[in-house]
Amino acid sequence: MIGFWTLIKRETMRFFQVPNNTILPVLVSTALYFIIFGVALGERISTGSPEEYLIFLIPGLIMMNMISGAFSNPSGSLFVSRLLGYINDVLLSSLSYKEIVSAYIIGGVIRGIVLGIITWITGLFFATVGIHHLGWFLLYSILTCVVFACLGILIGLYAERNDTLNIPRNFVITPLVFLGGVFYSLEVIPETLRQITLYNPLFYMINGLRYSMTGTAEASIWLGAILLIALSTVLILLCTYLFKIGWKLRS
Amino acid sequence: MYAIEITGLTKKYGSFTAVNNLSLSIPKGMFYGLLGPNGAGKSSTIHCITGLANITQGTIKVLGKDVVTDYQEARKLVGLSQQDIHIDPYFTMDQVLVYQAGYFGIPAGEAKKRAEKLLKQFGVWEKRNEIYRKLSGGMKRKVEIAKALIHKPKILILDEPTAGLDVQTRKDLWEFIREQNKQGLTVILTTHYLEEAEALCEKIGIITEGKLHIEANTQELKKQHKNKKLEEIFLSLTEKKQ
Repeated sequence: MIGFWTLIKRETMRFFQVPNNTILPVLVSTALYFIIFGVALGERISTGSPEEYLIFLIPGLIMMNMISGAFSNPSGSLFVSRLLGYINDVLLSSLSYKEIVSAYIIGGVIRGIVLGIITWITGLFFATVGIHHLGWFLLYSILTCVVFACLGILIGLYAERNDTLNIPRNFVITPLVFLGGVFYSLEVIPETLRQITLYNPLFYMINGLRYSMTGTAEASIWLGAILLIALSTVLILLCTYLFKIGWKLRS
Repeated sequence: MYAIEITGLTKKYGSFTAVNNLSLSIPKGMFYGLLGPNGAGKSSTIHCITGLANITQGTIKVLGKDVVTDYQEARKLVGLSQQDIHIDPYFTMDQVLVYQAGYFGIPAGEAKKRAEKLLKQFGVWEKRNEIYRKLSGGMKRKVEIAKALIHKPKILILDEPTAGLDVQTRKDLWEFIREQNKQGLTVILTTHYLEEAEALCEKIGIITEGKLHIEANTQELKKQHKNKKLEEIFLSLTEKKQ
């Protein structure tokens, strides 16, 4: 188990080593989101009061930053270590493939949770949101991070160039997050967009975390939970299999 | 039981065969030179032993442990200093070594002691708090070799270890490795500096086109070739082959 914990520590310390790239931008962008969407535009976006809109917004932004952190950690780490060749330190070691995959996932989850906490603390300067249901809160926050850490592993293994690494984030994850109900309720959008949103898996993740923090939901909490459990199981198995066969790792 | 036992190893990259039905046994405690021209299949063989490459066909055992079915145990027994230096750029040199030891299950306290000993041994203790980019080429090479030794392997594979090292550093390195070999460490060396192989290796195997072309005791091979230098023997053998 020492090897496993060492790799988790390495994956965690790596992002703490470069806070200007990994932590501070989140802090700044989150504060800007609260100021622009919450304070300045809140009244126009929401049917309720500005305070109500900020309470609605905080879980969405927490989820957005958790997804970003959980995805970026293993994708960046694996891509750079493959590019520079020091991934061999891990491949030459006596760590099992399951331990390696688990450590990369946990590293992603830790970064996601750290960014989520930073977002939450930033949000507390604008509105007070607590936890309505701890069980759902833990399930949604941790499993969402697991799913996106696994996706980060897949991209970190697949990418041969820096732009390939950024394509999924820029063209898939960010649009799905923005259209997944971070900033608006289903009540205030046109019917067509509402129907499209209901097919967006990230909507259910954001909806679940929002329920766990505020007690209000716009879709089934159970549906989101089943989706997360199914996705995380499939993705963990896929990542472990890819490490076992050495996809993009061993020649 | 052999330190390394390779049976019928074939390694293909697409349609290209890098290693072709190679069988090789290296006894425990030997200083063995794995030689051959560029592209002969030396590094591919080493990568198959250490798990950096998938085996197309055949088996490899490290002190009786199969490198595929019992890979975790096999990897504990081998240390590899790679031809191309790869060092984690995020951490200082002592941190890099402590992490590397940790991956092999060595507790942090013990890992720190070993890292200190190796960094002092290789004369880079003063650079322990530096990151990779701040080190000279020779220092990077020393840290690469220290990484291979940090988990105290039974078999050390050195793939072109002295490339870029000055004369004194090479001398110091070989004294240290020779001493480790005397204490029981099996050493497998690939190098293009054939005078080093001649001076250090009890036995050499020459690989050409992915096959073991010749394997012999170094001194006996020299006797057979009228005490010519290994370099001349190597050239005559590989030229004929090519």
